[in-house]
Amino acid sequence: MIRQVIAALICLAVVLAAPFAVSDFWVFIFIEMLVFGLYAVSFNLLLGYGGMLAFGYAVFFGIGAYACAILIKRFGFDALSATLLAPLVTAVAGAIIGYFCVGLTGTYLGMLTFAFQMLVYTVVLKSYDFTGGDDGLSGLKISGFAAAPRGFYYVTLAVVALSLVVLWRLVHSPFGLALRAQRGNAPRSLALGINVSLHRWATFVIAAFFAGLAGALFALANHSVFPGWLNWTASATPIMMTILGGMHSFIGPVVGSIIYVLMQSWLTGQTEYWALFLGIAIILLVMLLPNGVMGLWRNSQT
Amino acid sequence: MAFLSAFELLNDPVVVIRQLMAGLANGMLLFLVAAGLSLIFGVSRIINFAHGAVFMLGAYIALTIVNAAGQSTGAFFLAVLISTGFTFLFGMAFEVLCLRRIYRSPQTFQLLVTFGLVLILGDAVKLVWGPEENSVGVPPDLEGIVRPFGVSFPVYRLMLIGVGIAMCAALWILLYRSRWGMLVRAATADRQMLQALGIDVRRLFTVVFGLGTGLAGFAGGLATPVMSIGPALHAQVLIDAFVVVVIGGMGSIPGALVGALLVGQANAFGTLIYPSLSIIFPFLVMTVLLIVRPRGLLGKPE
Amino acid sequence: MTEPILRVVALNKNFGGLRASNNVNLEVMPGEFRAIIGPNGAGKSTLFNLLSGFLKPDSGRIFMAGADITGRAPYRLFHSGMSRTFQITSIFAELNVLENLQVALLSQRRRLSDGFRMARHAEIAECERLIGLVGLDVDRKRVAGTLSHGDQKKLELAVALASTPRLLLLDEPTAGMAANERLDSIRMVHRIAKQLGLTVVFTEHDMQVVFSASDRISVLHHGAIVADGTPQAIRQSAKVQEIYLGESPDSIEP
Repeated sequence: MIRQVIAALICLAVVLAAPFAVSDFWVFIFIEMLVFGLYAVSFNLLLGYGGMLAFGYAVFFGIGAYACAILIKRFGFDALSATLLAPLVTAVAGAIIGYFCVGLTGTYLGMLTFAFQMLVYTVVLKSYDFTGGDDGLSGLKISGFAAAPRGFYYVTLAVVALSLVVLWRLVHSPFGLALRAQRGNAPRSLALGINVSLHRWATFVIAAFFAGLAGALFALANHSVFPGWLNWTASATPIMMTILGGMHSFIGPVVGSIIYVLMQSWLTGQTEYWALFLGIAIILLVMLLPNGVMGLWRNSQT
Repeated sequence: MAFLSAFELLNDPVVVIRQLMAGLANGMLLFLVAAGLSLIFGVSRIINFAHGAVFMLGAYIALTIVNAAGQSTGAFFLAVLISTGFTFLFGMAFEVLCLRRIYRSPQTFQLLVTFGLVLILGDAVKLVWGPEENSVGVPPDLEGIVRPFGVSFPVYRLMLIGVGIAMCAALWILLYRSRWGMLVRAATADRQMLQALGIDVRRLFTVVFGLGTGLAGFAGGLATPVMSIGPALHAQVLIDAFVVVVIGGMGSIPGALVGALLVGQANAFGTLIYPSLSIIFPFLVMTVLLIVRPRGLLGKPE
Repeated sequence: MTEPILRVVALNKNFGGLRASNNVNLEVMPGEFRAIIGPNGAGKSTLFNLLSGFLKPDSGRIFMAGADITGRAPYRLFHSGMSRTFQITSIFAELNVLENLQVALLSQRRRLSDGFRMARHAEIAECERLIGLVGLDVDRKRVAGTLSHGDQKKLELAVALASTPRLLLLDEPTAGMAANERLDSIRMVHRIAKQLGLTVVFTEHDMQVVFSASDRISVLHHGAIVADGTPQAIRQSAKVQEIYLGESPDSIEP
């Protein structure tokens, strides 16, 4: 017990002090880790806890990012309000997409999320006036404390930490228990009074909310949004991070996102052909480390 | 305004017939790719996200051989033969090395592995052939125009239609008139049953995967005179194939034919009538179809 | 005269050309321990699925305590007081023993929409009571999928009892058990049912089990109820003997 408390305190100290020890570039990397960590945890709410694999999950991240950017650039909202509203917009998208998805199983559910994602992507590409089309939107301004990278880091840290606490309580609550139950045995769940479709739908909405929040934060961190964030290839990122970290633990996706961001930033610096190595890494990961890093850690504990 | 002129164009029977035939030619190429995708899914339940990348690989290989062996017709056919053989063997190798171990794993893993291949092939072609787009000319014996129904139409595309029909017939004979084809159809219907009958399902999976990728490579080779071949080709082809397979029904070869013909025509007439919406349209269809009738036109209900 | 807890009127279900349920009429009184028997393919599973909302009838009505529940979804039937087990033992294999029970209890208390409180501590006392009731003596944190077949069946029974149902449907409750276990098992269920005043309807193949515990027996054949009465009456029924003699000669000896 004492060891865990000390470990937690060390982590806390590192996380709080980190931005002062490094350059702006690295602060941005840390912000990315936090944002993607939340993104991946929300994805795992659907996958690991809910048993729903969404091939097109990036649609929620992208909608959150674009909602934030459009609210700022086209409607004159300030960064804070945009960040508060964007997840709500994404939750509505989650409600719509989820409504159609929850009745489907496995492959079809995945393909439908993929179809929705590409639908949103192509609409965004074609709506130049609203979304900036191919170019995306840039020049997202933040004012005040969060304008500087270090300030933004602490804001992101607070938001992500709070979100993770909320999600942690959710998966350990009766709601989370019912979610895990329907994942394993849907007929049994129905026979025990669980409205499985409604439960899955609610999970979609919640996951979309937090993915949208992550997207909004990422848009602000980059001061811009790009349509590529809505392309089908972007959906592999949350899947990869979750599997890398381990989909059977709550914190796994966060661990995965930290490793993924590090790996990607290192690779892009090393070679123009970083995608090649990333692809090899993914295949090796899946074949050699299917339970992810957390799975490995757990095995070493027993 | 564009609508009006499109209407005028459509009133001209020459234009209509030409678009019909162009749609047919594209449809046949699409069929080859989609048939491979459906075949793989039907037997092993794997959604091969790398299918477009294999098509691209086949195209690049054919390209290289034609350019190296001279632009003769003989060189072209040799090129297509080699690209088909290579992608067939490549597919089998990939299946044995990477996919075989993870059939029992959750679908997430299979997705990631095929996605890893997309990344690898995407960069590999850039590495080997450079980032520019290439093409070859139409093989000399197949140049020129014919005038079926009094409408001028390129010979090569007519040949594509012919090849497509021939492949339909060949696939039909293979699947419905051979013992091996019967095994494939049985595996599509009930994998476990087949295993219980003592059939070496593993080898079947390997060959089917190879056949699927071989079809993609074959189509890629044939496509070189009519498409510009670049590193981004794989995405467009994959998306088109997905739409076709969803329309026709995942796992159904006849469905792939129907879907490909429809999408081919939609593409041909869509670009004529309302070009700016034509990239959104396939995803709209895909979304609506997955909501209303997930199994597509000819798929079997899950 | 008390109202039947379950009343089935002219229930029909076809699958293609097959009449799986053929004009089924049934009345079960409160507190009864009712067996539904019949040869394989008689339509017992179909009937259970119709009663518990997993199938919708083509025609006919189902009433529970006077209320028309025809076509109601399974999750709503649970909250109306119906509970069931499945022929192939159906529990939450990935959850532990405690969690399996907690799901049922929290669902019944309508607490599953709570996204904030910790589920870990919920309803522990009740879970212990249920575990004691069925005699499941295992580590509470044990993952349900690792339990023996017999223990899984006990767990499933405990889960089904968790909501103190008005009507308990048991689909082949002794399936997969060794012959000597079966009698003990059905007697335990019988004891619990009488103790708690539950109404139980169960399907069964083993005649010894049926005759040792039922208050009344209904006989299904080709989807229709062909006999309905006390164990005595059924044992002496020529029609029933004919049905079973066709399948296996000794099958209705007690």
